[in-house]
Amino acid sequence: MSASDRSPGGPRVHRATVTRIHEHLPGTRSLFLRLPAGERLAFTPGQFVSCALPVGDDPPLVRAYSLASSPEDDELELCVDRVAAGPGSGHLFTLAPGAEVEFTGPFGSFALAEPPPAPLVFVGEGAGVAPLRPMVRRALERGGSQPITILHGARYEQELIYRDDFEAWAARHPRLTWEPVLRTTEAEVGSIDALEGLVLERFVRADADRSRRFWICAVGALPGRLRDALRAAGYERKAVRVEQW
Amino acid sequence: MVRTEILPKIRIIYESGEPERTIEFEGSGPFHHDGEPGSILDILLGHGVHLEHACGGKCACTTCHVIVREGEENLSPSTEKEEDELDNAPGLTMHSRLGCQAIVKGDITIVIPKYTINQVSGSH
Ligand SMILES: Cc1cc2nc3c(=O)[nH]c(=O)nc-3n(C[C@H](O)[C@H](O)[C@H](O)COP(=O)(O)OP(=O)(O)OC[C@H]3O[C@@H](n4cnc5c(N)ncnc54)[C@H](O)[C@@H]3O)c2cc1C
Ligand code: FES
Repeated sequence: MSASDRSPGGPRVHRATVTRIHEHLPGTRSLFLRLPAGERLAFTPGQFVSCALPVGDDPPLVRAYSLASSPEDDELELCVDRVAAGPGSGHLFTLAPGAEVEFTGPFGSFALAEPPPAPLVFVGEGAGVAPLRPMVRRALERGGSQPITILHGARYEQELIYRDDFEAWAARHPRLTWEPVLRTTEAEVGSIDALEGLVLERFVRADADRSRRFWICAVGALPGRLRDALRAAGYERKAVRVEQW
Repeated sequence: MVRTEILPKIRIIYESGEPERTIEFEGSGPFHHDGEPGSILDILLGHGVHLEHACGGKCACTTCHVIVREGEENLSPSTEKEEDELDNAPGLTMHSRLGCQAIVKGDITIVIPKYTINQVSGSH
């Protein structure tokens, strides 16, 4: 049974082929996917695809993966973390070039089509920077003068994936600041961590400017906590967008 | 066997005209691996009834949108996270919920809207 049989009248099913794999670090890799000739996926930076993964019994397991590439790129890029005992991510880690990936989409409103004329703040932790990458690229390409900040959280230096891109973009565009935020001590885990503390310090306590727009993506409770704190501090509801994995 | 206990029921009506179904469920889940344990999505998938769930039940897509016709009081109250995402649902009503977030505590009747592509909205 294919995904298209599963849901008559449902979303259109795409089948793409893995062309290459880039290992960012052990446990985090990018799959580059190519659609059949003549097929293109129209999407907005920040959106995700919904993969139907043949794991276990029918029906396939459904898992969301953000597009780390930009709509203008020839190939689609998914940046995937291997989750301990995770069936979906575990399956994606078995794929080699030539394998097929079936998905529907794009989906999601955690996206940026046109950058608003306000300071833009992107907060991502680990692979959570994947959907932010095409959004930042879109914001830079559209021009404008608003400052753009990326706060990039990670446990250690090697985990700062896409660092080369962010540094190169920041060198070319003085209005872009890329700022790595590393966890300094193990004790921070489970308590307020460096990234959360920095966001609150800089964008809540340091000034009264509430014109900023936020896109925040991470695994677990951090995005929800930041959303609540930023809204409570006076940012408009729609100004704070989060995606929780 | 005579059943003494009355189990909660979910009656499912399809806007597409597909025949309606009713499922009874026992316990509070999880029945499946997607959505909040005991949510409409979790119960439906666990009982072999398909409901779209493009984000895997993580409150990020609205494809699990359902309209509650009866028994709204038998669902967990919606959270800010659910309200944020619901805002993007095509055909949003006063009685809309996300199937992956609403936890079922008693009898309900839901309508599954015809699928509408979840286009990006309000992205700036
Ligand atoms: C909108 C959206 C976009 C997503 N985009 C990506 C993406 O680009 N890359 C990606 O790797 N994952 C992404 N995810 C997470 C992905 O969909 C799966 O949840 C993840 O791969 C785990 O699935 P699993 O079947 O392997 O394990 P499961 O057993 O289903 O998951 C176990 C737990 O792992 C947690 N988890 C999810 N993602 C991660 C992660 N990256 N690192 C550590 N723990 C995690 C989940 O909260 C879950 O509770 C996204 C999720 C959503 C909702
Ligand atoms: S399954 Fe995506 S929001 Fe419920």
